Amino acid sequence: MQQVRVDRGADAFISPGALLKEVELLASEGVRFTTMVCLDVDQEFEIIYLFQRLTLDMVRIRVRISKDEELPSISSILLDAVLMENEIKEFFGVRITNLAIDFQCRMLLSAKSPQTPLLKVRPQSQSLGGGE
Amino acid sequence: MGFLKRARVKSPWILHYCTGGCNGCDIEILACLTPLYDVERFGMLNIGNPKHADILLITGPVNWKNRDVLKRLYDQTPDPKVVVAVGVCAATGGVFHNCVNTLGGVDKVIPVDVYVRGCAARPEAIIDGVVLALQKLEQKNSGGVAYATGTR
Amino acid sequence: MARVTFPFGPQHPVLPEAIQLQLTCEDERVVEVLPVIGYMHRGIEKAAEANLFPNNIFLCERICGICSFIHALCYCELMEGMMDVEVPPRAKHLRVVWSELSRIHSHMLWLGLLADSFGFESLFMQCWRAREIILDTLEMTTGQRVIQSSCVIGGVRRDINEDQEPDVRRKMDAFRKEINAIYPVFAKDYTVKSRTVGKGILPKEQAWSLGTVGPTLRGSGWDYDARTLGYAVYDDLGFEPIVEDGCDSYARMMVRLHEVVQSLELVIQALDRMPKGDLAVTVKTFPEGEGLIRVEQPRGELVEYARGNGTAYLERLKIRTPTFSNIPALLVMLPGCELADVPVITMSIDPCIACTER
Repeated sequence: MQQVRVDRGADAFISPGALLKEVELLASEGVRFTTMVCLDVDQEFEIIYLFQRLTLDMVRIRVRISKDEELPSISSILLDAVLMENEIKEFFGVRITNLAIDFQCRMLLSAKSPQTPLLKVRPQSQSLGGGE
Repeated sequence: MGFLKRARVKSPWILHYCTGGCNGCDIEILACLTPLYDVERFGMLNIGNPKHADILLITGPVNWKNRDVLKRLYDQTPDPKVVVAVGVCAATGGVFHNCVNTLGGVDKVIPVDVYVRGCAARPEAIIDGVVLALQKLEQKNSGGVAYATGTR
Repeated sequence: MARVTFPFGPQHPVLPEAIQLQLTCEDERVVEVLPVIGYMHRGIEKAAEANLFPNNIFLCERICGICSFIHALCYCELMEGMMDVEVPPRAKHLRVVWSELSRIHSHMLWLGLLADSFGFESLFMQCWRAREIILDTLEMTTGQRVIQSSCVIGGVRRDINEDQEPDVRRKMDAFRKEINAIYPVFAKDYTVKSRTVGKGILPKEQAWSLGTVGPTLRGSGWDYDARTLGYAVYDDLGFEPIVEDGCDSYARMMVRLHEVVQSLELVIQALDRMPKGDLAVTVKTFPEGEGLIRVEQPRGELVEYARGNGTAYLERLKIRTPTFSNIPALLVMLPGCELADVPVITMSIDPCIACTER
């Protein structure tokens, strides 16, 4: 039977600085990119990277960044991550740098659509009225 | 009845465009063209060029990016023309009523003449709608109705 | 040589849905491709947070009308997994029957559209005529042709009773006759072969590293099918993925053609083994924690992630659809091909734009 429930304790939490090195290591083992999930947790983003091994098991890496922090793109190592990174940049406003193809937040949304629709709590630097 | 008017009513050409629905209606429109339902027996033909079309079959709730494309397609279609909104989401937004990127219905952008119900609309309902559109086309042809009502 | 950029779409007769490919050509040869998506984006992931979690089934079904049952199945299995609900065995078998029927109808639809993309109009009509048998079966057993809405959290809403079962089997026999007639045309016909063999090559290594899934991956020699992970009752049915080594459009077409025949057998097997019993259990809890599931759609692996907080609303629902990860493969397949082959190669990944953009 397929495992559905995710065990948070089994996942590796990584700092954004160590992300590229870890992904490079995984890529050299033949791991491929599956998807990314971005979660809006108060003043932080939790980003889950999901990879697939040749044995078809999943590998999960979690990164936590504050909302104003920059996150390096992994698209230089695994090209197919580029669409998902663009999507997260567009939906949440995560600052992803060095994208292989940058759609400039116009991949799915247009100029008139509501911007960053999935963002629940605005980062403090952008909040209207200058905080509470 | 002149030759052109007769040709328009007896052999209307259809332009199909999907504005962001679930494509359940789109495959049902295609199913209309295939042997079981065979809408071609009414002389209808599915074409790709809006400048040749008489009837616009529009599906989906219209999203912000699609809006301008839809407007352009409508403007490029020569008069007289009839717009058929296929499916619930093309009429009101349907199940996508609370989706952020949708406008909620084709009639928010262009005037609609016929609404076809159903999610997904059945081929029989689509054929019914198109036959109704033919009557409207005939009226417009003879100058009975110059423009569709209900423009928003 | 001067370079010309063509827009292919968003409104194009070969594409039932809106996507644009910006093709940069030198003469007749494509040198660069840029997919422009977003014409079908609705924002389902956001709406899923605003809806009650059982109502999301109907929203998930309408991500894509072609594989709607499997979207609902995926969401239901995910919620059941997160809430530890045990689905009755009869419901599991019914889910297999309906998901395999929708796989057949999706593949037949695609085979028809492929024939249409290289101008084989009569083959297109034949495929769609055969597909109507499957749609009739779906309508007879669930009440709707394309969007079935028969899957709920905890089981299914409809049954295939003793009166209907012989009818379903009779329809499957009728369909087998049709597919036996269509099969040799796709496999051997000169026209089909000349337009598909050697077109849109996706080498085995790149198929893996670009993240392709489903028949696109299996057409390049990888035996990965999410049904082997054993959701519903696939692990009891003795299921084996279908693999072709051609790496071209022809191989991908043959994978889907064989899958139609295989799905037909799976439907019959599931009907044979179907136990008697309840259709659904009542669910009284709310989803909590995190869940992740992989399910095989006609187009490939569908990944869903959900996070609940013990209330009736989900905190996050992430849906990674198969076409989303198949699109990067177009960047490898299209450059170097002729302009006339673009529709065939684009069709060969079975693009479902409504899925991709949600």
